[in-house]
Amino acid sequence: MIIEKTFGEKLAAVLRQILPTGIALASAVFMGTQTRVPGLASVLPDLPLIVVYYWSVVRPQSLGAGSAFAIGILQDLVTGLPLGLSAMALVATRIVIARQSRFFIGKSFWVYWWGYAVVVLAVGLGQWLLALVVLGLKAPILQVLAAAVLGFGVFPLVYWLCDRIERHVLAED
Amino acid sequence: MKSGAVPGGRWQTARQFVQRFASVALVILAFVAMLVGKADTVLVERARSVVADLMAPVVRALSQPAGALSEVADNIRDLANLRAENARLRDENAQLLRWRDVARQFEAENREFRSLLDYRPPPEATSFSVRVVGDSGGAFAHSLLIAAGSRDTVRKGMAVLSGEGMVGRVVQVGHRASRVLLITDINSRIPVVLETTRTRAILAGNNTDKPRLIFVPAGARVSPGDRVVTSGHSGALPPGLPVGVISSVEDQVIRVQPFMDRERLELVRVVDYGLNGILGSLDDESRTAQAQALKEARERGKARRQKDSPAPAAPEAAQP
Repeated sequence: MIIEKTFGEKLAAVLRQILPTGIALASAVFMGTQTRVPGLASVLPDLPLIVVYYWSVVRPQSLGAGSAFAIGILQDLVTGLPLGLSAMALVATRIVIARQSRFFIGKSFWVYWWGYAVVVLAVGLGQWLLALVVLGLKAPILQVLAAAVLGFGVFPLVYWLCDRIERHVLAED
Repeated sequence: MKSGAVPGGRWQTARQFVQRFASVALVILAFVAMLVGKADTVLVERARSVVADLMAPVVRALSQPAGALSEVADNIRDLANLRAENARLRDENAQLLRWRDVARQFEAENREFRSLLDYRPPPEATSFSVRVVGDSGGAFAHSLLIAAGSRDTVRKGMAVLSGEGMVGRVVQVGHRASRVLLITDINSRIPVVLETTRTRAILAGNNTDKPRLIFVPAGARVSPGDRVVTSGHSGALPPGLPVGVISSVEDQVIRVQPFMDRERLELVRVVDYGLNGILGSLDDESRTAQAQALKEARERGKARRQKDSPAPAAPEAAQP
């Protein structure tokens, strides 16, 4: 028996489908805000990276590489970063992590966390190297590492928020 | 039936092909975006301006909670330091009153000298205050987003000041929002002069809180505590705008502590000094300033070498 979905149900399904991308886009816009915390602006953790990593691990089909690219470009445009720098980081993270998603199935939060530690360090150093080689921009490496450490520190909070959304809003799918 | 299955099969194969190579294509696309961004094309600049226009209200709304929290923290800190702050301000006030008398005296003298010399003062600067809506960039860029654009007569190259001193320069102008390159950004180069010794140099941002002084003439005396102000060379900024103070001099590396406090910037002043047309683009200006400083340093070195080298001996045949 085929059950016809109502318009409201169809709309809710579409919204659920685009929610992961929406959250990542919101985090990219948030990166452009003024924190007013002394010293934080230079070492602000890369929130879109955490969000893209989370969805790549938990629901790879909900946030594609194309979406990761678009989020990265938006982040670069909003924050005034060299164009393509964040896009490259997010696309690479999405591709690599989605291919390793089988490894993460059924693993605990700690595995996700340490997985992110590897990702954030690799992305930080990769961005630093790309900026140096391609753009001739020698960013202070200590700040890059500090941002990676802070990102590692805020990961549990972002993970918790995304996990709540995943369990309570997207679980129906 | 069989003939109908072939297009479907082709479609499936094509789809698999696209899926397989889409990821690689996106990585290449990101790389191309970096190269296009580096070329600083009009297209990229326009895209940045459009996004700045669209996102400025959103970024501003998102910044408000952080601003409110910061205000509460500031209030608590201010209350704790009230007594000490009061005493410091009383001392400072007494000092400033003495300086006011001196300044009045100088002002009167200056007026008299100017009338004697028939001095033509530079055009009056016009300025307006703007709210800062975004502050971003991390380790790779230092910039601000301000809530004013071309509709508010903001133009590329205009100086941006805070109450303390120079903040940066407008590098992108949208309709409603603009981006300001901070003096600490790695792409920022500002011709400066040490206030007391009048030593010329270039303030070069390095994406840290303390930019460096480069192209300082050999033998120049630079000490921590010296004030750094704009020199006015290159014609982009007027002379005398306060920039910062020398914080350290170590192994030929001179660092400057800017007067502006990036985290406390809420309102900034966009100033038009009427120096239009001189600043083609930031890069051109930086290159001009650097080239000028380099040329001067070379000339000084050449003059010094000529002075130090012994005079050539006269030819023997000329001697009696």
